[in-house]
Amino acid sequence: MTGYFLLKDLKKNAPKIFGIPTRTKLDEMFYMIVKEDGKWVKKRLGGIPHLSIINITGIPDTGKSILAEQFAVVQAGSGYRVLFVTVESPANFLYTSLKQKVEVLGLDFGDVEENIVVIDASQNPELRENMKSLLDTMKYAIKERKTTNVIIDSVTGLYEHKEMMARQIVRVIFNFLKKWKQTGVLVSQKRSSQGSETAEAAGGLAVAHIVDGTVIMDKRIVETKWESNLYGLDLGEVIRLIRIDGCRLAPHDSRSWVFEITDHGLINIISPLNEFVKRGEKYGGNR
Amino acid sequence: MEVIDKPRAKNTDKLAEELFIRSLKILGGLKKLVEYRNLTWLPSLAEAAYVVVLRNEALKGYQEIARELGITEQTVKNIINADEEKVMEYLEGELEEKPSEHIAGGIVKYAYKKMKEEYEN
Repeated sequence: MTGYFLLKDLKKNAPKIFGIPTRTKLDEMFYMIVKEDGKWVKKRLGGIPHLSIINITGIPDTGKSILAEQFAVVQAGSGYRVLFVTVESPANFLYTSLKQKVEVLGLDFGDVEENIVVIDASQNPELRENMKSLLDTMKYAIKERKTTNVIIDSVTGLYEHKEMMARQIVRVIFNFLKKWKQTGVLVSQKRSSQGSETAEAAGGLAVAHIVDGTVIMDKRIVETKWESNLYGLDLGEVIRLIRIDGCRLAPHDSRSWVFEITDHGLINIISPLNEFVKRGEKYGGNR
Repeated sequence: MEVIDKPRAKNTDKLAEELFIRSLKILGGLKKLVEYRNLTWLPSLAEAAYVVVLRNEALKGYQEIARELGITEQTVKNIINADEEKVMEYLEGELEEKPSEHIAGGIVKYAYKKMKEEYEN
């Protein structure tokens, strides 16, 4: 295999960029620029970019797994095969969680059940700690079950006691998903000491440099009267924010958007923070 | 929902064995080792084959590999950091002095590189 190509030779294998829906407003946050009547216009992509590897990161209890699971059931409910690698939650718990989301979203559980293949690495150290075993098993599932989307929740669980291997592990997974033409969502955890406004917010350990894009989920407790007035929330309440922190495959909205985790356990992205504040929108039904 | 809870993989033992055999072939086969009374190389080659597979395929850390194989972390590092080109030059008689590299590590790493090239093509 040669390592160099003429640009024109790459044309036939160049991926077409379109959106893979999550059925949240994240779908509006990615866009593309198209020419219409001689003018360049911004169009919603309608989902995360096809064949991209997106890192969803945040501190604990920010809704990363919920978003990943929501994406899985939406895709499976639309007839696309999904490979879900669960590293944290045992498969039977994941089943319950997915089933609940399917019911709330009004999807057909029969379709979803049929279209999701789960690799349970949470209970098997060989799958969790031996990358070859995991990748060979993923290859089997992708080939045999013809999946098009892969979710790993969480990739951090694959290097939790060997962080010096993080880059290498993420790089291998990234190359693997590209080779097998999968759209990938990698959930990664960040420490609460890694501020959401810094480069470390993208998961630390330089994971963000490897993947195609990063979505940061964050939460802040309203601690001052000023914040309370600004967000229209009582002291001690929580405001949740989501933003796309870079994506090399598609242009995107770079603002922080306000979201909530609904009582039914779904991610509901409301609006950009500036608009939310300006309009005094409702948050969690109590504003 | 189909749940896969066991690895569906060619295991690391098989891969290490394959690498061991390939490394032996680079040295001219088992018979050559017998002829040159170099059979003592075998344990080092076997050890290095496991180290290279666990590091490059299973992506395990130095400490993990050392623990799993019952060897020191320094030995693992020596194998992983062995300069395979230099070792091959030495084996082919191009170097007068024995290099300071882990010889078995260099041979196995060279065999691994060739094996990967073969599989990728």
